[in-house]
Amino acid sequence: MPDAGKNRREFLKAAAAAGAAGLWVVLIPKPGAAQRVHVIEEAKAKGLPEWLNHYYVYVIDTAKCIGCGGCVRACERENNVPAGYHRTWVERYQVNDEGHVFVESPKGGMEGFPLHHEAPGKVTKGFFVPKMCNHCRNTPCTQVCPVHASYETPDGVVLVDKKVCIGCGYCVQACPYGSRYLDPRDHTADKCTWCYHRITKGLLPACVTVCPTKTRVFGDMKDENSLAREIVETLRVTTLKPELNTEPFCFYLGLDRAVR
Amino acid sequence: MNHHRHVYRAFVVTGVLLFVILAGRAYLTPETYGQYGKYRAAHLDEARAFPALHQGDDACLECHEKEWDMADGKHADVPCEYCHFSAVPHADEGKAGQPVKDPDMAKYRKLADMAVDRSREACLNCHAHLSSRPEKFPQVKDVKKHIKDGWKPDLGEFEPEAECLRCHRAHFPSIVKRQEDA
Repeated sequence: MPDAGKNRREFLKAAAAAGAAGLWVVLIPKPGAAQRVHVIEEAKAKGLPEWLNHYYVYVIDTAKCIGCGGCVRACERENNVPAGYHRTWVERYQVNDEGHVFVESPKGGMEGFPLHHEAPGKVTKGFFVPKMCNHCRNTPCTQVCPVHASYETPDGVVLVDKKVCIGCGYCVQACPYGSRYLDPRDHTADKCTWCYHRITKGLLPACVTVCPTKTRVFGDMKDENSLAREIVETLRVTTLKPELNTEPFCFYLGLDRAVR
Repeated sequence: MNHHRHVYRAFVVTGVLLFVILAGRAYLTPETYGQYGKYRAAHLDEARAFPALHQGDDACLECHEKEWDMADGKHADVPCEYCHFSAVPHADEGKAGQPVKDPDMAKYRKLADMAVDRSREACLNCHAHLSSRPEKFPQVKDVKKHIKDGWKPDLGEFEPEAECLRCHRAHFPSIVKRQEDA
């Protein structure tokens, strides 16, 4: 039957075309950092207000941290963080002569660190690592948000719109740094905002304001006199979990391999 | 044959569905959504409107020049608000508009009490010896020994349980107080 043969040929042709189209959809490049910058450029063209003309950056010099917990206390007061939750916290690391790593962060380091928690064996090196939201450029938390409540601002800060958030908690699980929590008071996602209400008015984040050893440095990549920008441009900075390609915009100096 | 009726029905159903979907979308989409990107642009202003409590050292300097000059030595770079807690509500900017050094300041703005932690624990938060602290940072390994070894005769009678501020000035810690200062 010649007709049936023709039909089959046509069907196969159509199927091949559809398959090729499907493959093309799969091969569309995923939105990477370059495209995100493009999004920001686009937003600029839409006429952003003057106070959004920044690109914030955060640097933490772990060699200077003394683990006083002043930043954690200031953050809690400034942002009215619910008790038992932390937007920023300090971890204490101890590595002993057997190579074992001991990490602790009692109450996020808010009340300092207890003296009797010395690691067993001979501690060969120890340090404190302050942690917080890394405000990634390629962040998993905004990608999983089903209602676009979590987003990246044009000035480089990842925020949560609490009026839109439905409290599903996907972003809490998606964040590889554990920076997010569900606020028990209104059951919406909450996290460090780099004190967005302060930085947009020319103040520093609360944690940077009170840091007595200048461990925490906050700056603006668009400001030529910014110390944080100078550090990122001239010193050998690293980020937490670089292998995840989240491209954090919170940089670390003097990070040990034991830090995860 | 009334086949055209099927087509008519399909068009009506599709039209109604389209209308419901588009109207629902317009109703449910927040007002400023999509202005800058895939988020509600108005949230930027809402996030910005949150009141700031910490004001930074410059704000303290406006009134407290004397204390500012006093702070020197190792603690010169310690921010005021580390020990003294946040500047707001102590100095509430909402009631400003008058020169800060106005002698009748009390009339225009009410200054809330400034809390400050003077306990030994507050000092030890930074200065207790921990293996994780940078080695060069001044740390006290044994507080009792430190008080005993450091006690000077002009401090008066020996107090084994003295607070740190009994001897050290918080604003200039290397100067040890005499008895009349204490």
